[in-house]
Amino acid sequence: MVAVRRKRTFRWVVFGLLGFYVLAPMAASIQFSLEAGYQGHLSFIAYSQAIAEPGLAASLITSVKVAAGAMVITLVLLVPTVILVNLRLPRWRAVLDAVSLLPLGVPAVVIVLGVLGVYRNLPDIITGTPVILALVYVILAMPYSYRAIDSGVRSLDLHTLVDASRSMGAGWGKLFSRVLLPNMRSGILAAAFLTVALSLGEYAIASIMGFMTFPVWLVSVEGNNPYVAVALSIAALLVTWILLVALALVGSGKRRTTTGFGIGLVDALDEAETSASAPGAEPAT
Amino acid sequence: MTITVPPRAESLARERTRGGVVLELVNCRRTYGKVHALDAFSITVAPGELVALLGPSGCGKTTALRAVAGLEQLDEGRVFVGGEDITHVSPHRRNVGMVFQAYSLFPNMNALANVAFGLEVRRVPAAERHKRAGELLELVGLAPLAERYPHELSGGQQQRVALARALCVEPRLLLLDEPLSALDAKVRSQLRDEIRRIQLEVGITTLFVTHDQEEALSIADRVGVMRAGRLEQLGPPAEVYSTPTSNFVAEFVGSVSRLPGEMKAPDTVAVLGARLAVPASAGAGLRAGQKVDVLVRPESIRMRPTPDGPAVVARASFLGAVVRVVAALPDGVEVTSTLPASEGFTFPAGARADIDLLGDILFVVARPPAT
Repeated sequence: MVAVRRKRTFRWVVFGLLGFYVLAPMAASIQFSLEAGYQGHLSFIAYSQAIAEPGLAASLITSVKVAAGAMVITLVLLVPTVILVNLRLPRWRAVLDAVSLLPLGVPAVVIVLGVLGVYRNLPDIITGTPVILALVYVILAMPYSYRAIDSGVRSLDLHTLVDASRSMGAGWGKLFSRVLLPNMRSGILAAAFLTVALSLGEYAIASIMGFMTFPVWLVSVEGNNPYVAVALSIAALLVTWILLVALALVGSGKRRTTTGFGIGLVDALDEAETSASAPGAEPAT
Repeated sequence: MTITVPPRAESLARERTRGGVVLELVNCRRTYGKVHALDAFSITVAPGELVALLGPSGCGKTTALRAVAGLEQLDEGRVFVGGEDITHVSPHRRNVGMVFQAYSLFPNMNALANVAFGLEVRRVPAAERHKRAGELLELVGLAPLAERYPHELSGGQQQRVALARALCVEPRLLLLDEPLSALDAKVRSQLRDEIRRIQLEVGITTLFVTHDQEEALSIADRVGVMRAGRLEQLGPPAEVYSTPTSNFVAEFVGSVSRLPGEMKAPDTVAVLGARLAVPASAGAGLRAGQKVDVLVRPESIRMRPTPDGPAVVARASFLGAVVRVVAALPDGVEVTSTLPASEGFTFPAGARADIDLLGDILFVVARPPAT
């Protein structure tokens, strides 16, 4: 009985410490943004100033466009690739796995130099616009997006589902649209969320390449008005949370797959971390 | 659980009279590296017939089935269905129904949508395909569970839905790839009978792959025993069981005891002190004086508890209708006998027993020289 009580107390202590660690900085930021320099007097003045700040809408639109582009390119590239590799080229899984981890070990400056060098000959519409940023974010998000999609595929008995639908008369189009994609929904949503979250929050590369995305704009504002910058950071955090909850709700609809969106997300992050610490290692099945 | 057979729907009556088509695999070959999954494999399945392919793991039976479905490409050979060469036809154009060993229902669709999937692919209007899928679910006794998703169904129910799904497109052939192997013994036996009932009712030509001899013998019109990619023997279950054409078939189908014997003439063998006739089919090319192993079924061996008998009882198992007794001969060879439990003999371990052969020799095989 005593042991059980001790265990319970220990759990609450750990939970409390973790909660404090996560929530205390946020609470401090919220207080900082609400006081806006007038100690003891709370107001939303920093938030209303933030909305009026020039450049907010433009940077936000750029970021959203880049994030949406990165997400679409990621899914179009990775979903068929992961299915193909799992179905027909299982030996290539280890290669793909290792390649997908490379962005974790390459510094932002090196990626920028590499991308600019490789894409130098592409038309201006790609290299001179945020399109190139979307392409870079596809690569940056790959350690997570690849694992999210791969975990979605591996939660299925892919071979049997493919064989069953093929024997029912389904061509590849029907197979993808009616069988594979709906059953991989959690993995696809997790990959989409991770790519969007990374794209919306990335600063270093956008800054080096000279694009005014939301994080770059935020840092530029911070110098003039730190209260506005913190207020915007909190608003951005809330938007990200709302996005996460919305995706989780979509993912938990009439789902009949074995892993949920949350599990897919955690799997992807876990696996990326584990694989990064042991390069070349096969992710756990 | 009792399965109620629903009233016959009009379309099912149409199917019943449809009959099946002939399936032929001719000289099929498929290799994986150095392994011959199929090696000059040929078989003909008559219209409406159910043939079970039986064999140990890796003998090529699933490869043969998948080749018929188009899910496996042959290196050589031809597949004909109803006289039409479908060897190079894409799997989704073959019009075969297949039930897999693994649960293969689409997790995102309920039972009705799963069954209707093949018709959806064929662009049959929704109302018509749901009506048809409902009829098939009735056929397998699962109409009340039409709205359930796969994870809400038991293994047996999932396989019945899979069977309904395979039949819904009115396929020319039904291919069953060990559909019962993931189920527990009782459900397996029920579903086996149900598959046979439905197959007879629909009259569809069926190829059934299994490694379970009891399953094959009980369900099939003919059983094909496979070994290393080849068809070792094909015949009615009773023939394969009682007149095997090789010692492999004799030992794989049913259980046998190997008794040491000696050929006294090309058609006579001495075993356990008796001289028995060797049927021509049971041993060819044997010479007088040759040491042999005589393969005998447990029901052809009679055992009696006797204080001065030559054999020593190792163990006895009560199996309901019969008792299986394993006894060791003086030279250490183990002999298995099954006796009707009604005879009332008891065989405690260590007791002595007398052994008689009832005369039915299954197969005689030359004994390899001692090393």
